[in-house]
Amino acid sequence: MPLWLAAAEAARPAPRVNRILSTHLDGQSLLTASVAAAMVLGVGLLLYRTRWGIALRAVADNRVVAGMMGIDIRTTLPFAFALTAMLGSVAGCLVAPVFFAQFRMGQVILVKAFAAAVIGGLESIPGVFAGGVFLGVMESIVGGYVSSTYKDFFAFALLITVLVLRPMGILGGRRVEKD
Amino acid sequence: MWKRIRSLPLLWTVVGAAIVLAPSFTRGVGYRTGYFLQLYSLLPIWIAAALSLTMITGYIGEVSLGQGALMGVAAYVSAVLSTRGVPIVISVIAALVMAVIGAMILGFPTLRIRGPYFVVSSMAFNGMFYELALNWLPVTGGPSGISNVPSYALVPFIGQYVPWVVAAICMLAVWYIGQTRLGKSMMAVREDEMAAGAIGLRVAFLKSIAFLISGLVAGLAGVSLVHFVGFVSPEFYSINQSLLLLTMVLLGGARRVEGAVVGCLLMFIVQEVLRPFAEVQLLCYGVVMLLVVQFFPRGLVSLFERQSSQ
Amino acid sequence: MSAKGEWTLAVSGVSKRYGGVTAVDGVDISIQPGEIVALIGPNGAGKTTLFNIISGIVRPDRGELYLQGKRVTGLPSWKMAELGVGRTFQNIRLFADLTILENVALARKGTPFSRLRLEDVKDVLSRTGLVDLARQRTGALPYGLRRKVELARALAGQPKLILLDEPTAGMNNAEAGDLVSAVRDLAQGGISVLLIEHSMKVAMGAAHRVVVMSLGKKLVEGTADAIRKDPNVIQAYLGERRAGSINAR
Repeated sequence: MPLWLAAAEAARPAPRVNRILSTHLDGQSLLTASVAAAMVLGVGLLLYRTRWGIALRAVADNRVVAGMMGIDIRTTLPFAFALTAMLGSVAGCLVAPVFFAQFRMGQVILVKAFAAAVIGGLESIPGVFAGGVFLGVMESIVGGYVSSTYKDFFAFALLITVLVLRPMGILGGRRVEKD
Repeated sequence: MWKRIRSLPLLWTVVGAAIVLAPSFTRGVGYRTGYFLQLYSLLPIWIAAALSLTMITGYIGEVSLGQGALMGVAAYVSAVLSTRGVPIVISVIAALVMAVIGAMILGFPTLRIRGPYFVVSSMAFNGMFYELALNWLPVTGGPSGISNVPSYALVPFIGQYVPWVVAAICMLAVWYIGQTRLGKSMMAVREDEMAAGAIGLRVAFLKSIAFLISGLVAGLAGVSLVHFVGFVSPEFYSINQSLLLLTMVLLGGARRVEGAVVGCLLMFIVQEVLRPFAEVQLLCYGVVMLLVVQFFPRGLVSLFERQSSQ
Repeated sequence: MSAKGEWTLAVSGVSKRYGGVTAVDGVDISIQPGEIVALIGPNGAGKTTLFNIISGIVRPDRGELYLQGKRVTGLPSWKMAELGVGRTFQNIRLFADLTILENVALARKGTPFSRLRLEDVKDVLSRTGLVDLARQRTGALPYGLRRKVELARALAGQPKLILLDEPTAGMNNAEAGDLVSAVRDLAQGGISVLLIEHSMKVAMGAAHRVVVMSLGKKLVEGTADAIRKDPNVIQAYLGERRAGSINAR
């Protein structure tokens, strides 16, 4: 067996089942949750406490003036996209064992990820985390008590509802500009 | 150049004749007849579907990834009704009505959100439809869909031309609207919504009309499709189809009817050329999108446009 | 103080907040038919927000608007346009992919399935000298022409009140002079004109009356001469008391 595969096998969390507050959590879920929390913290720190992060927010706010202030917009944006790709792939790795990896899995996850971000408030980091938790909980509740086949349907419907009623999300601050 | 060509009835007669004679020609030559006829009938359906997107993206300026679902709504409604004994005319009309209603639901968010937010909203819409089609077993037949839908494909002589007639009607309608005050008002909304309101244009109303017409056209496409192939399944109307349509329309040019036609034609050709390399197909579509957005933001049709009026 | 019906526009106690910022704070303005009023003030005074409120793009939090005696508070922009409010924008908002003819003709009413014809708007186009260029796409036009098109478009709707947001921006003295006489012609035809101006020369020269705004409030209003000497106005602009008048730009 190739070395890298063996290492990956060893690193996989053991399927222990923990009982916490009458719900079952296995190793994978715990890992995903802690990685998510770490990512939120990390991205938050990056965007608010580092020079690069602040520069990125400036570019997002007003690209032209940011450029005039000496921020190199030609590299800032590609870096941001690269960061997005990194974060996305980490998410993908964590989710793959749960969702049966196939090339098309990205689409459903995309919509749900966007839903989580929008519900929580696109401009707010804690909002995104809250949105994700909220969406996950809603999905489970709907899945458990209403119907499990239609839980994606409800996730989509929720997204559209939130977009129409409150585009800035729960914790979002500024109104979404229509122009 | 397009203006000159359009005023040459000769060219259109030639094109029309080519379209009418093509099936007989290939039959005569005996070259992969059945397969060609399939493509021959699918192309106009895709053109019609693309035109529904032209109404939204070209005229109102919003990118929609929900056209597949609109087609699907019409296709499913007509399939469900016609396989349960409802006369075809009624089921088609019911299908079109449902497609229009679906389009209004799809379009409603544009009254409050724009741009990327609406794109995702339309993706969610498409997802909703797909999930519904996939899971509502008693009505939609789930993953296997509905078969034995009455089909016009076997009607001699006329059958193969039905999609072309539908496509021609849609082309004329969408083109004509673009020439009128209604169409130009929609384009004004696309250009600058605030200014459009400031000169007295009712933006919400115009957006609704655009979606209404788009729903009607997509519905026609869906109905033509389902009654040609004789069955429906959720895969036909998933987000992939919407993406494909968007690629076609962007490739050809979103703002003009010619763009939808050119885009569809090209994508069909690309699809056929790449058929032996199925894995590469999706990759190619992505690359095409990237190239188009980068180098031909107005689509290939823009290569032929001059500076003066549309 | 004449009855409300005699005013083209009466704005009463209008306020608008954006988050923590009060953009417009209890402003009263009124204009009579054929009057030219200049709205001046330092940047951030709330002039464009006031315009947005009057043209119906923004709803005021408090206060009322009356157009020819009719209460129009909170009506959407298309309705205000229908009722006779025309407007140009600070950073020219034309329909770039449409032609001059189309831009202007859309401002006039017509049936949905009719074509936009030159004859329908020939009056406005010839008045602004745009007839020959009618079929040009506006996106490619030079700045001066685009300003003209925007003006023509605002006039095409046969407005009773026209709001001009910095109409002379980017113009030289000759062009500005042309604009001023065009505005005077409009006023003589009975149209009320409210214009935002940074150029003192234009504002003082063209207007019958000047209204000065600062930090969302109306500071003072009066004739050009009175304003020029008012110490509050000078302080608002320059931040200190100064003998003498504001130098015309």
